[in-house]
Amino acid sequence: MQSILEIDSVMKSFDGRRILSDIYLKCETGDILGMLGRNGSGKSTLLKILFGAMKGDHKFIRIDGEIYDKPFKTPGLVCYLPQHNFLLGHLSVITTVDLYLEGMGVDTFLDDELLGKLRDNKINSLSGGESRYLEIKLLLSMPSKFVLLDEPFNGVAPVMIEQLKTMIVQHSTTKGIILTDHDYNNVLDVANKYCLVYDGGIKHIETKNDLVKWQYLKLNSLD
Amino acid sequence: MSLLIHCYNNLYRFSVINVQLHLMTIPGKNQLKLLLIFYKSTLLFSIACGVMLAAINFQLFFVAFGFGFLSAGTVISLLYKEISKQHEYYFYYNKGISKQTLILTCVLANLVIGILLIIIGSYAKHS
Repeated sequence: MQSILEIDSVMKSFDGRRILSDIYLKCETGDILGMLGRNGSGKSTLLKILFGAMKGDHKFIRIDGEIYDKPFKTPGLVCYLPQHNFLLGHLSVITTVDLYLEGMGVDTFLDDELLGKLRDNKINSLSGGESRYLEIKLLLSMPSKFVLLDEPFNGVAPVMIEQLKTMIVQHSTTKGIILTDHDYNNVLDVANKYCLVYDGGIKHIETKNDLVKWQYLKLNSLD
Repeated sequence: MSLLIHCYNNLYRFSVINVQLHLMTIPGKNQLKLLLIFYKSTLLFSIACGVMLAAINFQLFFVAFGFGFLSAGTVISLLYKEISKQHEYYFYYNKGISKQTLILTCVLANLVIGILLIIIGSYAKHS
């Protein structure tokens, strides 16, 4: 089923400094929306507001025609991968997977070259990259309509990045995915729509030249 | 100062109406498991505070333990979460559990256990 997520009129200020002003964003099932932006441009803030974990000065979130204040409170709507690892260190991999998938398809989930070996390990014994891989796979496997990924490739080895990109593309057939990462080449590879958070607003990106136009890339980085 | 304002804002959220709304929502089995995991993760500080207060007033062990457990124990364990384990809240958010629900569960459970210990302690002292 096709789902539509829209966020409109987002405003957010910190200490009198306006970070986001009048943002509009739309994501549908099948979309992988790559969100780019300089450090401090407000990408993570926007994702947190969209998830419902942060209050906006003003915001309007609509999913399939219904308005939500905190979408995360409604199961099956939105999942969010924050920048920092969020799994509980004292739980084992298998317990975490069991809790998140509620017992459904745990063995299939762990039938994985990497996770198969780690099933009985505690989360705090995993490396940053292994933990990230587990988090992303868990969130993509949950029955939610939209997944927000904040810097999914951060600290992950290149081989695993390729696996993650394949996984994201596979799951985009049933979900809408919004992702942001400073490794813009990976974002451009995996996404099928792009936008740039610039000066508190959203600029839609069609070509790499647009990234130069909005001062995200230097002209000599286009090769 | 900003921490105090943040704490005040969080306390404000726990108005009577909020408490009633949370109690009206009955969590599922999986959510109960998650609430228990959160609660267990706060117990270390609660018990430590209880033991410290009980050690000062050993004659009223249960009363002092119960009081320390439900007062300073609750506040310190939740402050610790707020300051150094903020990112872990996303673990619960992704399963539809809000911070208010987690904190409320912890406060209520500590209140019940603490009051029970105080009653047991008072009864033991008088008998």
